[in-house]
Amino acid sequence: MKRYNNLLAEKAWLILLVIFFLLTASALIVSANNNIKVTILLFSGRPDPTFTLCDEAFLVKMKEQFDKMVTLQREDESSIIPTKLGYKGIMVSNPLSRQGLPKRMNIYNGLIELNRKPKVFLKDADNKIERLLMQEAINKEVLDPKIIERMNAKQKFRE
Amino acid sequence: MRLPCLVLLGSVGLLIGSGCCKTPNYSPEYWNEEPAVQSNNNCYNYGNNKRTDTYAQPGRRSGAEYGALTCISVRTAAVADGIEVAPSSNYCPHDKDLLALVVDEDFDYHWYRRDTNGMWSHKPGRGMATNLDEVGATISNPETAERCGDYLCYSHFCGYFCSCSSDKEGRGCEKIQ
Repeated sequence: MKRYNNLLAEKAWLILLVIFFLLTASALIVSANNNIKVTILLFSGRPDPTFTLCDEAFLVKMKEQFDKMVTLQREDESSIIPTKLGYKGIMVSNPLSRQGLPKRMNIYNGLIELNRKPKVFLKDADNKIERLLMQEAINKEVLDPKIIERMNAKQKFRE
Repeated sequence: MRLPCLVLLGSVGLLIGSGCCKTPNYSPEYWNEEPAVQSNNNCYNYGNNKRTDTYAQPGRRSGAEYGALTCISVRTAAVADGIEVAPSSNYCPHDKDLLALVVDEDFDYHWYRRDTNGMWSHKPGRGMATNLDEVGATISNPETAERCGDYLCYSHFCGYFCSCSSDKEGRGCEKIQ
């Protein structure tokens, strides 16, 4: 019995270390899932480009734009994401409502759709938020340079 | 003699209950439910009528995911998943459903499926499932349908395939992931 207790005491530090690593790993995973995730809705088959928004200054800038937005009355409650091939807008997931920004929203062509019940629609004047996020995607290099070439050819998303 | 008969009957019952292989009906509302279904299932899910919520990729389930965005590479990956290249007649045996694959080479791939009404439908990524092409026309032939959208144009037609689909939406029987 004494020998068993000694063995247990010796191994206790190892057990504590394993528990510590497991807790840290779980915390990291939870933290990653709670970040603001931006998805550029571009492709049909392959995964869409995504990136995480962490920059506080950028988020503050986004919030300032949101605070200026006008709510729109829309009878049509269907999604603003168009049913078509190619670029279809931007989807933002913000599980913890960071910076007071919405939890889930879709952005396309001057409109923002907040995925709540009932849905709320906002006017994105001059496609400001859409341009901001697209530029951030370019800055973070999540878009294939060949796609950017095609976008430039349409002169749609360059500042 | 009794036990084997029961096992056989049970197996047949399971097959009938699963609805495999059957041509699907055009029922876009199932795929357009947000946030669970629409955002998590792509053209490959829809084409095979198999909801996985994983944004399925050709070859992922079988460990042979496509390496390039070309007809050959995506075709090979889909075949690794069990999807068959259609015979030259485009008549799929064993009640399998006819699919069509197109690519915008080096950029992306896209799948269409044929429904019980003989027309074709598709789901552009996280967009809604639809039976219309890019100019708003119903699709009687994916080879001649308009396939160019903003920044992407799926101009390469890769061919037809056969998939074990289902008459129950989302319950296709191909092993995709």
